[in-house]
Amino acid sequence: MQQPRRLTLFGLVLAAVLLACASSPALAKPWQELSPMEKEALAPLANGWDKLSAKDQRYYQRLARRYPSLSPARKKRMLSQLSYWSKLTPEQRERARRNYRAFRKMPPATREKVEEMARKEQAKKAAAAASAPAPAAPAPPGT
Amino acid sequence: MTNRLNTNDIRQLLGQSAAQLAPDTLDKLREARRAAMARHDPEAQGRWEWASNWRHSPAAWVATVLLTLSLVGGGLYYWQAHDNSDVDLAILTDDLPANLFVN
Repeated sequence: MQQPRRLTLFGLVLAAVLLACASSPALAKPWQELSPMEKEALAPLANGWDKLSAKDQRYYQRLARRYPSLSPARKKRMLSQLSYWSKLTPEQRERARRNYRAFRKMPPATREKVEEMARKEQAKKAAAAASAPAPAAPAPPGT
Repeated sequence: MTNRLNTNDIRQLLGQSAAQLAPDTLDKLREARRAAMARHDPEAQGRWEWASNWRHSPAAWVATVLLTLSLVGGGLYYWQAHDNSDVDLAILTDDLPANLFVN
């Protein structure tokens, strides 16, 4: 009966380790301790990194792990979006995920139309922002 | 010279030895036996018998394996349900800016 007992012990230890891993909050990692690759991938977050919770840091590290496999264009897009993404609330991120999944499920023709509309909208906004007048000086009294 | 004793011989020898004990020693032994029997609780012993014999039971093994699998499976499910890095990376690296999906 020695072997079954060892097996049982192994099973119990494995379950305990899994539970401990799932529930133990890891400590936050200072920016200096990140790998060069992580630092490159998460550069837009460098200033606020040490203020992030350990959970958020782990989330961004998971993203950074995938960074080396991205094409140069995608790397550039990720770096340009990361700062904006980090400022979103969990609800906004969840909404973005929902919308993105729905968008990816659209037929290609519909998706292209949506992309086209979105690009036009972006261009319009960019143009409006560029031509917006500088803050007006206060009007002189009596006019 | 060696004597081989069987259980009957031993029982007889013990009986003879007990007969040679002083009456007050016998009384004390009787009292100790009575106290031990009073402490003995057959119901409680039955309640925990399964714990000492569980490893002989196939059902207990199946239950242990199922419990371990459910813990591992539950952990994996929880991890996958809370890991959005795939879709988040897709949003961050898409041609379209992320703010389009937020609004």
